[in-house]
Amino acid sequence: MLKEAFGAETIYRARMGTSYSLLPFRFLRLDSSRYVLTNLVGEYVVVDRESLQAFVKHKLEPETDTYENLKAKHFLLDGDSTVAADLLACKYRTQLGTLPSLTSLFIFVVTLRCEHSCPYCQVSRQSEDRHAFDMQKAHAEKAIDFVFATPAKNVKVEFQGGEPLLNFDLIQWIVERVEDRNTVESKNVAFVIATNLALVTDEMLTFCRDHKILISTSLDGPRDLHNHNRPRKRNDSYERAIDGIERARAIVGRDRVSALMTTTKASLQQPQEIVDEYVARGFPSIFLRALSPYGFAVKTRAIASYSTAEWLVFYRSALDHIIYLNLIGVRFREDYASLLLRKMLTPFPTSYVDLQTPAGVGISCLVFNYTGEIYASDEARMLAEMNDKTFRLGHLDEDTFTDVITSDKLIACLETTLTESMPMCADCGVQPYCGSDPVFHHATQGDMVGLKPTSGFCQKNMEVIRHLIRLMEDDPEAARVLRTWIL
Amino acid sequence: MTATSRESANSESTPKALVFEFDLGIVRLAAIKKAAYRFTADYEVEFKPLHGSGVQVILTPRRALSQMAVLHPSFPNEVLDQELRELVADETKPIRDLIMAQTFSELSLTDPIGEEADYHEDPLGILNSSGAREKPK
Repeated sequence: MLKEAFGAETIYRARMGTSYSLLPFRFLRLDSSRYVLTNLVGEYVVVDRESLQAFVKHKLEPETDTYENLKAKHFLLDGDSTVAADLLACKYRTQLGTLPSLTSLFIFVVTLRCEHSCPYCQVSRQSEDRHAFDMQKAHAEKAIDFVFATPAKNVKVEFQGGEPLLNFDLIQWIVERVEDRNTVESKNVAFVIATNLALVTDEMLTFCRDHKILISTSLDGPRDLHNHNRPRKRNDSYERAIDGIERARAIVGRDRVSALMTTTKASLQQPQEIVDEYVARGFPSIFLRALSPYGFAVKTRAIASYSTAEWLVFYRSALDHIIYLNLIGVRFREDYASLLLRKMLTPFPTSYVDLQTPAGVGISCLVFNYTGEIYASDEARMLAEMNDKTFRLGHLDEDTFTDVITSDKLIACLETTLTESMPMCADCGVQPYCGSDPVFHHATQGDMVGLKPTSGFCQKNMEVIRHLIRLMEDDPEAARVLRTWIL
Repeated sequence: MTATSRESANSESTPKALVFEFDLGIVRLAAIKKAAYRFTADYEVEFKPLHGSGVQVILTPRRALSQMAVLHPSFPNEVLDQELRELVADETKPIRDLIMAQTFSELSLTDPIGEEADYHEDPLGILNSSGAREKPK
């Protein structure tokens, strides 16, 4: 029966005519001789300029590899089939499939107190004895209403600070309250605590284990670098972090503890050492992050201490080292590259707030500050600590989830910052992979749309994506490694 | 399209400006504007109409850079790239609108038979015993 169902091979090789029509695509110069073309859903093909011009002018020969690649990846329609348009619509619908679920990440800033003194602190922490900077239980209760008001089936409740363990009693109360309500609501709820682990006790970790709470901590690199970045009175931040990580792993579970780093000027000279520290500590990945322009990072001028170009040198060096480690048998990945590769090589969306259009502010993430105020993102509340409340969406004493999500302020922000329509983003070849970050552009340029030629966000993403595409095209071994990072 | 440079009045203290002239019968004004926008990080941009269907673009560096070798091939090429983008956008607008409508609609607009018919009836003739494929209706 199968033999009867399929025709002879010659049938599939025959061409129905030689003319073709273009499907929508964008393009970007990759290097001095090549361009990367991306279609509506982010499938890409790399061609030289002559091929690009021939393709646009309908002069590309059907028997060439370039033609076959462009056809296979839905850049053209010819007489053989019209299915490409259907497939593009289906894939685009898949990419946007999480939008109707709205907010899935809810951040509770349970306190702004912290016992560290990091000069790059983006949250503008307060000293640990100032309880006026703790979230009140009444506000936490109202914030829990938001968690159960969202249409999203899968939600994450994340505790941040300051140092959230300084208000662990409230964390316990919130977790138990959510679990209690969820016996009726039946959502899939994940909990995360973002903590420096310096104050963690076995009792706290036991609670985390019993309630399946994930731990996200900070590890900036080897001991001297970490302690330099994250001062403590006894200069023991690294030792406490490592001790906390090991104890958390022992009690909560090895795979339930993750770490994040922040790149400071001191970090720029040690890309390999930072990666090696993560590998040595048994982490499966690292997220190479630049400093964000908020909080003390601005006050102490930490944010001005290096340029985006310098960070890109650091990033490429660290990425090269990670790829090398993979090639000698060490399984380890870079998480930002993983996110981008998922967008480049699959039609599936990511939940990373900074790489979404419409922007992830509000509709992916809501932040409940210790004051009861509601912010569109973590960065938005950091901005608020600098007396800029542009992205304040409401207050727990006054507003419901519906009020916040349908507010004119949020809708206007999302509408004006779609990458599909912003200057330079609308026709950018990497638009399918990039995102809108209105908070960053407001903070750095005074305009949430932003001027992309001078945007550090744009420069960073363009160059990282170009670098990944060049690796995929020019380095088969690196390409093989990168494909294993798609999550 | 021509690219020329001119010395400013006080060439020792002020950066050189570059002047480009474009025929709007060959490239679109939108393409030139979009190309110039991409250079606004490093250059002040000025547009002046020319007699007939031309436009002059003056790029003045914001800093004293020795950028002549970098800019000369770069800006005209960027204009051509933008013109290409305009061509693609014009040609693909109808199909793009159709794909968008299909994306956000619960109906099949491009192949209603293929998507909604009963596959048991082989509406697309896939099992045609002659081996020849029939075009979708």
